[in-house]
Amino acid sequence: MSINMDQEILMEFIEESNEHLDGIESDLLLIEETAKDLDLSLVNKVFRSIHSIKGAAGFLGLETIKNLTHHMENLLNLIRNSKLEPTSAVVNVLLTSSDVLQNLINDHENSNSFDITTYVDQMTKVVEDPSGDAEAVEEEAAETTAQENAPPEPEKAAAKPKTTARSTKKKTQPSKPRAQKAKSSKPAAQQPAATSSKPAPKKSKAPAKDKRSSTTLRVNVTLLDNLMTLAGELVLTRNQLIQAHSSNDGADLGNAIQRVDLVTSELQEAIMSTRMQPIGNVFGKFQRVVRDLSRSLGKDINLVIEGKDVELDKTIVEAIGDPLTHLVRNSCDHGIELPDVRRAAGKKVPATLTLRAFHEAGQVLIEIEDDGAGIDVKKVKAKALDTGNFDPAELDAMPESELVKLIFRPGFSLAKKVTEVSGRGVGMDVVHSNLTKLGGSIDIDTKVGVGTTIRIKLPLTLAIIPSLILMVQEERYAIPQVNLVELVRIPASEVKNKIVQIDDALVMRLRGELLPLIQLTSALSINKTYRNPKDSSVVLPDRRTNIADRRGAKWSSGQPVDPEAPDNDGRQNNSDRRTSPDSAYNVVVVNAGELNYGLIVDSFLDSQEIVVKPLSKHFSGLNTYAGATILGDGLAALILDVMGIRNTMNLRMIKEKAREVELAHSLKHAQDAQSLLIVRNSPDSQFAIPLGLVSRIEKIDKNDIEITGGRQAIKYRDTNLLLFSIEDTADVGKREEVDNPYIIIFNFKKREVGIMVSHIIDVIDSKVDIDNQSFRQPGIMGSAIIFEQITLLVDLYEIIADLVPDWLDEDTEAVRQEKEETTILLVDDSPFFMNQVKKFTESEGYNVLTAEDGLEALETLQTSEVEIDLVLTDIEMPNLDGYGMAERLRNELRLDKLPVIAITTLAGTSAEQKAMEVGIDEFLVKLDREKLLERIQHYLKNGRAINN
Amino acid sequence: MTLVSSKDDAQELSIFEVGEITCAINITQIQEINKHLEITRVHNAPEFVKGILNLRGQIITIVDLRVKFGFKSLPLNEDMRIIVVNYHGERTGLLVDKIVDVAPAREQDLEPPPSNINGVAGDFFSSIYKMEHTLAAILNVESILKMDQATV
Repeated sequence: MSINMDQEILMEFIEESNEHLDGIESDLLLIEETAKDLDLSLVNKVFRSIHSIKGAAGFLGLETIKNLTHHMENLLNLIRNSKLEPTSAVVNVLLTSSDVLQNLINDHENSNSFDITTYVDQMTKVVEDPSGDAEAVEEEAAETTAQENAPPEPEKAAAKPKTTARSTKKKTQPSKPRAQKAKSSKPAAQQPAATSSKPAPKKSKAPAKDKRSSTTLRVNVTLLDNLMTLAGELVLTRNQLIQAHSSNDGADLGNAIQRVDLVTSELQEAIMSTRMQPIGNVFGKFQRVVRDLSRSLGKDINLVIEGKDVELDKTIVEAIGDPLTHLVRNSCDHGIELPDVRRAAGKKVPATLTLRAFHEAGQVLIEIEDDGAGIDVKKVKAKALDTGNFDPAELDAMPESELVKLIFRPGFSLAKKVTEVSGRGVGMDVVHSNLTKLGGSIDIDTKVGVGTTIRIKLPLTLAIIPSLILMVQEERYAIPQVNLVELVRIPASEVKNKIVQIDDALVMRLRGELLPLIQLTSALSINKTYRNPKDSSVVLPDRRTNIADRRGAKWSSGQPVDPEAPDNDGRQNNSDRRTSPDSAYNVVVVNAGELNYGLIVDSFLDSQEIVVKPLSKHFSGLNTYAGATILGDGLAALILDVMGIRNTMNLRMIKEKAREVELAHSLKHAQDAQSLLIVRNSPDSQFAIPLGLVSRIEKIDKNDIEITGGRQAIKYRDTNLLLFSIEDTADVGKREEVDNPYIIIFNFKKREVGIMVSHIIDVIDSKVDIDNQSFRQPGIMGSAIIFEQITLLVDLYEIIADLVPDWLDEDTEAVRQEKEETTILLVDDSPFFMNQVKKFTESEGYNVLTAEDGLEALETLQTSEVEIDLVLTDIEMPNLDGYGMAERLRNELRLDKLPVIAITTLAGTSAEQKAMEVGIDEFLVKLDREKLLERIQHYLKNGRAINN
Repeated sequence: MTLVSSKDDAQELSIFEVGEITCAINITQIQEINKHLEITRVHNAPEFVKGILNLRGQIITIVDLRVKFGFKSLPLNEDMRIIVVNYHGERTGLLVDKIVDVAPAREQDLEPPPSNINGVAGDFFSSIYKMEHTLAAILNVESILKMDQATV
């Protein structure tokens, strides 16, 4: 009993002390910073914290802790009485002591046998001779450690070296960080060898911290009160329910159920918010990390923290500590240059490292931005080649943004030598995998000589996630919404064209790209069955091993077999069961890191918010599942891990093969093709909208449409979305009223707007001839025959420009300021594409010049009065193609700095490689508006990648 | 049956059947015995894992003792029960063919297990309890579930 009590008191002591210590560190740093203009209340606060620890330690018989705190108190007392100035040397002594204190507290059982003479000695020296040079004290200690590379021995104790020999591991560990710090007070240049030769005892503090995380949680009392109220409310509602049930009153029951609904969601929200913690808890410790690092590296770094109050789920806050530390250390060590180098480069000293957190679109973004040397993509590439794990062709084909990401691969380090801070090539991959595990993603934006920004995206919470429920073989699975890219249904008649088999792998053609495709059943090794078409109760094993059998274009080792040729067994006839609607494929396109792929499932059920539950350790070997959840009917269902499936199925390989095949395909079909969304407003008015411009399509209820100020609008994702119709501008037939019209959402000058249509017909990849004469009118850019019907091509931008001319004016004013001198030269021989791209780039506020082929473009570049900042070009053009133009632009016109982006239907490694050789910076497939705009911005902001 | 004289050396056993053998578990180890069998299969999992189950908001793993003991897995039926045990803080369900009885057992009626019982490795059992007509093998939950991890 008494042991338990003691144990409890001890635990309390540890918890309380740790809380005190957390505060002390940041307070000490603040004291150091404001030494000249010292806030005494701060010193008092630290003093009190130390004093409480001392009191409790004395009570519990922890003599060493008491002793150490006593000396810290003495020192603080001097500072408090203004007898000692808190120079950084003095603060250093205090900081190291508090580190030791932390270790002692976490290892309180052995604390009494711990040798703290070094620290006590340092402090006594400072105390005895407050006016004296505190740094001398440190340096002495530092030298001892540097020489012996062993636990520090105080001068007095040097006579009995046995203490060192007896030092257990436990003893040496806490001393090491101190040793580094002591050293760091000397200019690093003097002891570079010592600094780098010694492996960093990185972990010495970490395990202690882990131990105390997640056991308790501080919750605001108001929040707790709120929870109590809600719990009371729940009890009341339960009583209501019981009453309504016994009296069998339908109306009462309805009310009660409504209340349950309300209370539960409020309760859920309140409980969730108890788990939310400010990210400042993690950011706070970086003041110290950066301070210590900059000292030991001899660098001058100023840490700026923004967005401390951004809240994240507790588990995430705890889990991002290590990855962030790693990234910060990397920035300090590799990113930021030594002061001399910075001065020489004309950069300001101190360097700035910014840690920033903010909300964006329901996620939290964390940015680690430094104004250091940046990451040299060329070096990354060279290093990648060096490791021998990469195919040179693969590397050449990689865009810059992908190359930079190679640093997240295991065993990849760019550091010239291994230092104690970083360079061992472990770490970045761990950072990456840890963040991925949390459902986050990481991006790097870097420019040589300017700096690096690492951007981490994290979900707000892990506990509840919106997911898509889908069905395969009568079993339900969930896929988190964050992994979803889109849902595609491939009708039986299209399967042949859309699904291609390469060796034994399947790929799907989607808007000019080939995506690896897998059957969910094979990823999960489910034995496939199908229902007998005549008697649905009979379930038979499905002997078909491959869905592309006889229906897809066949490829054998990359060699196309003419898909039109009938099969030998003549099965490809109209009565084939497999062309019935039942054999359409439902594909979930998911995103797994840098790779998208499709999963074939039986059906999509619906979208649900699911609560994630962990799986037991029996399943630790399985990486196809991310966890389990409980569905509405109380049954358990598994959550799919798209990353895990990707790895299990080895999809990278497929992707690579797919590129080659697509190359062959695109060479054969090199022609302007584009995806068109076909819609109808009435049976005889059919429209086509370029799919690349569309952000989303939503089905709405016509009763939700509100009319305000003569305009139609709908509440959508917390904003009012203005709705327009094609006939508002164009002289076309009236739209048929339907209960659930669709809205096609797209961006116009950074605003989202919707165009209402009655029916969605299809999405086609067309190579149609566009007639831009006969039916040309405002809002309609031309016409084509699609599905044997005259189809009008809608000009979304013209409609909005016509209906809301204010936006055009008001925006151009603002945008003109921002993008004042930005001029883009657009080169394309197809008037249709030219028109499209011109419209949306202009709508973004850029100034756009056009040219119809390479020659004309070169001429424009030479004669244009305004300076051209970027060139967007097609590849296939008459007179002079994109390659030729780029080559001459670089070689003859000497336009070395001008970014050139190719937008083309050609794809494939060799086409890309050729493009890179002639000086094209990026290769984009027609026509993804968002991606194109993003890349334009990227190049305008960062310029070309170093290319010489 | 005589009353158990001293409480200290008596334990109560839940007797159940798995395949051809009669087994028992000390009821203090049992958290509950459950008859709802809405088990969700987990593909790719080890064969002895029947699936997962929602137990009042917690997902628990169901281990098919039949498979564990080397018998053929059977489709679920009315007699089958799930014995929920707590193993290292994690609840796990053991799927058994049917529950037979609860019987008190005294220490002196327990004997060490033979090296195998009807072909099932003796490691899975901590002792043998002699009943009037038959023998009940008392499960060693620890070794049954611990080996699971080794085989994963």
